[in-house]
Amino acid sequence: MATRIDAIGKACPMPVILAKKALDSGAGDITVLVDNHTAVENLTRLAESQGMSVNSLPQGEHFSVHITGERVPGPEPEVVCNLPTAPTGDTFFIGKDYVGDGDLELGRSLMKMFLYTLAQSDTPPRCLLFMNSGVKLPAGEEPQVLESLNELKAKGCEILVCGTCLNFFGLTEQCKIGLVSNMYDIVTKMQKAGKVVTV
Amino acid sequence: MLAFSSTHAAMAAEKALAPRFPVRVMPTLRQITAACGISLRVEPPHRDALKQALAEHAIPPGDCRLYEVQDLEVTQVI
Repeated sequence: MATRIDAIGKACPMPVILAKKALDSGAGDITVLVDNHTAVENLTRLAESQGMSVNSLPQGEHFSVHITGERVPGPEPEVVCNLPTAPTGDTFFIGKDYVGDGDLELGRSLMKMFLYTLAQSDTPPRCLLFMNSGVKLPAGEEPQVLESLNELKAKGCEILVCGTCLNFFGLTEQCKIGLVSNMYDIVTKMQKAGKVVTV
Repeated sequence: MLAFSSTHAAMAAEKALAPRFPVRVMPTLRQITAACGISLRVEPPHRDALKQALAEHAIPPGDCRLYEVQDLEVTQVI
């Protein structure tokens, strides 16, 4: 029987505790609603440690984490609650994989340098939104770009990647970092941002 | 860190060096006066490989200057 857990507004580690309780009571098809990335990551680790499949989807401002499969009890992972809090910086909209117009090769070099500089900054952006050819950055193979994005993520920067755009470029399976998202979420992030900077 | 006399030189150097060891494109540090705002960062373990590449003229001599950067201290090496 499907079990639905509403863990919205519940502080870490409550979402994981509730999911674990449901698993312990024999549930094999659990959907947990949470409101932060830390909870998604903790739930994902829990499911994987128990040999179960996990799939998380953004739902408006929240996330739905679906855990299914046959449980193979294993050692439970450590629950991480002290991930860095989201920085207070601005939101950056990255709508292409290069900076400016004029020369593409120069533009791509500038984009690499831009993300590097952003990652080194003491005030990283709150959120990066990737659309159109911008999705080629988190879904690409350029090590420096991926390294910078990973550093930004580790500093608490949210990374949203347009799923429609990934699909258009045939890169859906290649997205290496960030949450595959949609226009609703991206527009909501823009509306809630103090300032949106278009790159 | 390698700083360059021109943007074209920096981009050509990235292409020439990237297959040999990891390089990262970064903005030229404010402490350095260079014609170009693009520099290449090479981590210390690859210092010898970089010096070897420079000795072999992988980048046209005169196009770049090599600096060692430690914390905020910048020393020109070549």
